[in-house]
Amino acid sequence: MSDILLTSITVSIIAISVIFLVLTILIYFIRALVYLLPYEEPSKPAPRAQPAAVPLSQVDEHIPVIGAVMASYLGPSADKLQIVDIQPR
Amino acid sequence: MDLSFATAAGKILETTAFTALTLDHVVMLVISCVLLYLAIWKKFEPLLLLPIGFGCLVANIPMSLMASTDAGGLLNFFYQGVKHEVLPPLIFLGVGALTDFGPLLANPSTLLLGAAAQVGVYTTLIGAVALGFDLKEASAIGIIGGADGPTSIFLATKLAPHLLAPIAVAAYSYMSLVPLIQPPIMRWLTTQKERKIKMAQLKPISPTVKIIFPIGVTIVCCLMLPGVTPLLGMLMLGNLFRESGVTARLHETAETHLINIVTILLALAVGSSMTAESFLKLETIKIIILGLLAFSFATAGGVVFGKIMCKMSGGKVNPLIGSAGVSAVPMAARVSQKVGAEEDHTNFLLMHAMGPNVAGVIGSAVAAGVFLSLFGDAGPEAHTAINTVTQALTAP
Repeated sequence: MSDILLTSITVSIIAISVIFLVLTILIYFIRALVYLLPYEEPSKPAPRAQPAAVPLSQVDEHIPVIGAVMASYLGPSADKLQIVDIQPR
Repeated sequence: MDLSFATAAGKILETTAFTALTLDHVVMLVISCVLLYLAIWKKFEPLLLLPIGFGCLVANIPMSLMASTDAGGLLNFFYQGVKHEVLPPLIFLGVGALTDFGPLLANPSTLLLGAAAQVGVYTTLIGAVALGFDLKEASAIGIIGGADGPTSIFLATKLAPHLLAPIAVAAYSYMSLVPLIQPPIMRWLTTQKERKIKMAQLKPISPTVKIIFPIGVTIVCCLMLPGVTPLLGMLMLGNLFRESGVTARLHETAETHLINIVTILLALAVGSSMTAESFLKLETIKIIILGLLAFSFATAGGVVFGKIMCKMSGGKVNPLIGSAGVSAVPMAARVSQKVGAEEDHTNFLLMHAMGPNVAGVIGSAVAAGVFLSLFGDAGPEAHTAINTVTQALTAP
């Protein structure tokens, strides 16, 4: 076997050993990281407070006001426009 | 100035490129058209083969001053980015910004598959030496097995710049042929039972680990193999842009505009180096054959190591993910998924294969670093040490 071929085999063995060594060091580095900094579930945001229901008497007061505003915007007189319900979101 | 019709016509004819066109130029123009055909109609790695093919086309038009060797020409200017090792690391910056190392961090043992696939690099190195290349040239050819275009270009520029064109073309051509080269080898080396193995779901990884990982890899790998810092450092910087969460604009630029611009410059520059003088040689055919050998052995190395991991883990690892260790992100991982799904369509290997796939990027960069340590400008002492070892082995 020629010298250069033997050298190439030696280079290959050395190089593949170095690659395995470097990547094995990385494996232990990652394992240490994952062990020291485990994944934690992100805390769930607190449920948003539901808006308080508007008292019925207040809704009743709003209906004619909204009706008047919409009627003036749309054109027809207030008695042709009928708001039947208001649902608080 | 007296300029008759005949004189003017003769002068124009003299200045056309036809007067300087040789058979070699014609052959190279045909080769460039084949590359363009493969890119446009066969969709073989079009983002790279199209500009490479076009760079080759304009470089082989005589008197165009578009070859990489034509000082003052446009593509000579682009080529300085390759010659001075600027463009391949910038591509790695973009690749880092695009890469999610999560699957690798969730299953770090898959790094070994990225290392095992480098077997192709060294098998090819030995093959190249047997075919008459010197050790530096053989190293540059062998890295084709890493299936990593920028790494191949980076190493070829450093160790064998005269072989850059055929090495780059072989690397990118075979990368585009991964879906054709790998599956038969994968099926040949595995049993049906092994291909059907379903792997456990990957565990989630803390965002802090994802941030520390690129910094740690840079420190560990670049301290051990400083020659690879331009590649690995940029890869990890791109990934840090992604994971840190504080550089959204830089991340977006690196993964889109920057990588696209650099791809155009790099591919055109490589194409411009495909001149008749540098490409039409017996060495090119040898490199093309060795490139195929490199890919095949790299795939086989990954799959065989996958089988070993399968045995050692009690059948928890599907050996098909080993083939993804050849880099070529994400195509090689997709091939693992496809071959696995052929046996069992409910088997989803893609995320598991992404681990060895990104490990392959690190593995091929490390392999390049080892070659630079041995044969680069800083490596004569290492070379002497190898000679000493070789002499000791051959001594009676």
